[in-house]
This record gives sequence, C-alpha cells and structure tokens, in this order.
Amino acid sequence: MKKIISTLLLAGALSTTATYAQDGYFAIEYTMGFSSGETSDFIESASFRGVTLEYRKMVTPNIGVGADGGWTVFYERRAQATYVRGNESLTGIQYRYLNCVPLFAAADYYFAEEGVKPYAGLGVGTLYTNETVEMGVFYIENEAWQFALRPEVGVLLEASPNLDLMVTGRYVVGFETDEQETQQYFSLNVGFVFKIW
Amino acid sequence: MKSKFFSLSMIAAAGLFWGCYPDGADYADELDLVYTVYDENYAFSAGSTYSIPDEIVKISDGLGDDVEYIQDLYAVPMLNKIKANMTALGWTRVDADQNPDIELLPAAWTSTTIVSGGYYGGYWCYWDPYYCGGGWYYPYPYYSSYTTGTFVMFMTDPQNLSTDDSRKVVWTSAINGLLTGSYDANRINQAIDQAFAQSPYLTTN
Repeated sequence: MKKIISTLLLAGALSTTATYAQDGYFAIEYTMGFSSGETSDFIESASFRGVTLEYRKMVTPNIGVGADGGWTVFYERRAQATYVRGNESLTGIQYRYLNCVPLFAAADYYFAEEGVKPYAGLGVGTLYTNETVEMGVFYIENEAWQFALRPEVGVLLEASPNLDLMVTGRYVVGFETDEQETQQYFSLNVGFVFKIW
Repeated sequence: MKSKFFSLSMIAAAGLFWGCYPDGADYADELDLVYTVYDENYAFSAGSTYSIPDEIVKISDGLGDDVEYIQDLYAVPMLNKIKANMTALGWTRVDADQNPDIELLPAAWTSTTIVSGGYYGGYWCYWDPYYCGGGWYYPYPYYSSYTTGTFVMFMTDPQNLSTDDSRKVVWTSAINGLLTGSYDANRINQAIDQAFAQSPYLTTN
C-alpha cells in the first residue's frame, strides 16, 4: 500500500506545472460504506472494501460534470440462529454479502478554484446490487438494478499542480423495485485526483 | 507518463480489492444446518408413546433389496441422543408392535458434488502490453469436490394410513453438513439436540 501511495504521489510530482485552466480530472478513491435503512437490516457491519472511479469535465471553473462508478462489498457473518417461517425452522450460520455497484452521471459545484476546494454534487443513475445469503452449502442470490440518487459533499486538497487529494461523503439511495427493496448507505471516500489540463 | 501511473493505480486498486473479498466459512462445522418442519394439524401433545428402530438405515442411490445400516459405533450414540431428547419431551419408548402413537425413523445418506473451474492459460493483461508480465493464471484446470452428509428423522403417524398403506409424516428433521475425514460425535450430537430444541411443539402432556 505504501508503494502505491508513493507511486501516486510521484506521478503528481513528476508532471509538468500547468498555467492554464483545468480541463477536468480523473479520481480513484478508497471507499468505506456504512449501511442504513433496509440495507442495515440485512447487513449492519460497515464495509471497508470499496473503490470508486470518477471523471469530471470542468464546464466552468466552478462546475464539473461527468460520471462515476464504484464497487462496495458489505459482508457479515451472522452467528448461529434459528429462522422460522410458518411450520419450518432452519438453524445455521449465515454469511451475508451485498455487492453494490453505483453508476452515476454527476455534476459538482466547487466553492473555490484552487487550494482547498470544498464542493457539493449530485449523481443520478443506477445502483446494481447483488445480495447473497449463504447457509451451509446452499445459498440464495438476488440481484437488481435500481434507479438511484447520490448527493455528495467533499473537499479537494491541492497536493501539487497536477494532483489533489480528495475526501468526500456520499449518500447512495437505490429506490425499491420488484426485485429489491430500497437500498441505502453512506460512503466515506478518500482518494487521489489526477488533474487534466 | 501521468496516464500510465493512473492506469497502474487502477490495476493496483483492483488487485487489492479482489484480494480482500470476504470468503465465508473457514471450518466444516460452520456449514452445519438443522431443518425441521411439522404438520400443523397433528396434535403431538395428545401422544405419549413412540417407537424407534435399533439401527439407522443408510440410503445410497435409493433403497435396494440389500438394506445397509450405519455401523453401531456411530449409530448407537446417535440413537441414544434421540431417545434422551424424546424422554425429555415426555415421550415413552415402546416396541413397534405395542401400538405406539408415533414412529420415529432415522436415516442417513451422503452426496458428493464435484466442481471444476479455472483458467486454461493466458496471462491476465491490461490493454497496453507494457503492463503485461507477472499476472496470475492457473496452468491447469482445477477440480474439487465436497461430500455432504444428511441425517434425517421422520416421525410418522401409524394410525393415519393412506390408501396404499403409507404412513403420514408429521415431523421431519434434516441435518446437513460437510463431511470431513473424521467422525465428530460432538458435532452430530449438537445438531440432534438442536433439531429437538427448535421443535418445542413435540412436547407431550
């Protein structure tokens, strides 16, 4: 991990200094997820397995539009318990997985053009979820595509003329469908922003 | 230069992410399941006697003319465990010809599942050949198998016969688990206890 961070910092440092307007950026982020609502009913544990990629094109010095997508894996081992349905009872240890892949078209507003740049944004798109419950050697799987929204607030910290550091919080909501109930989670992301000039 | 570093960072992130994927159970007993189902219209509390065979039948590819039984070394402790649970629930054991209220019939079988998969060769590359090298692959397809054992207990009502003389099943328990090379009495005993513990309606007056 240290090697990767060093490499990424070196990438920024080696790049040439730009003196013209930023055209946009690519970002890669480490994503932590914290479930809420119905998602929390399924898996309470936080996720520390996640990644997000994003691209923004600056249409004005303060407004960026683009797309982002990620992958967050929630996982929980439920201790042995008995699940009752009607006249049936099943006892065992459950292993629950929830893979969330949000894909958004997004727009952000940046409150500053250099240095520390706080921003707020909104994403509109889809949330793909793959929910699996394993018990014994059997499993049940459910997958769905949901219409999704994602408000976001964050800050970009200028590390070099070509590299920013990013900290951002997002709330991802995938709305109920026939296949899946509403899914929602908060994500905290830290990452590197590679500026495009 | 910058785009290559960016690509490299994405590959590294993907590799790290995949390596961290959670992988479920570590031990065979974590895959044990105990399932029970009962006839909601049958009044268990009205009964008081039951019968149970002295052996546990072993089912393999259906029941043929030559019925196999589990070795006494394993069967006797299991039968004793079942009897202890039935006694605790208020039932009295009688012989099958003494007109028991229910018959308790245990049986066991195993099933082997074979899975295969893997890559047949070729390095995993990024689109730019510059990043090829290293990579991981399986030089040969791999095969794996697992064997599960299922121990079932049926309670039948000998007074309730169908037209073809079959007895009505009023309670079923299925205990399923991954079999290992060694017999674990504690594991099967716990599962038998659990089957009765999650069936409190079996209690007699």
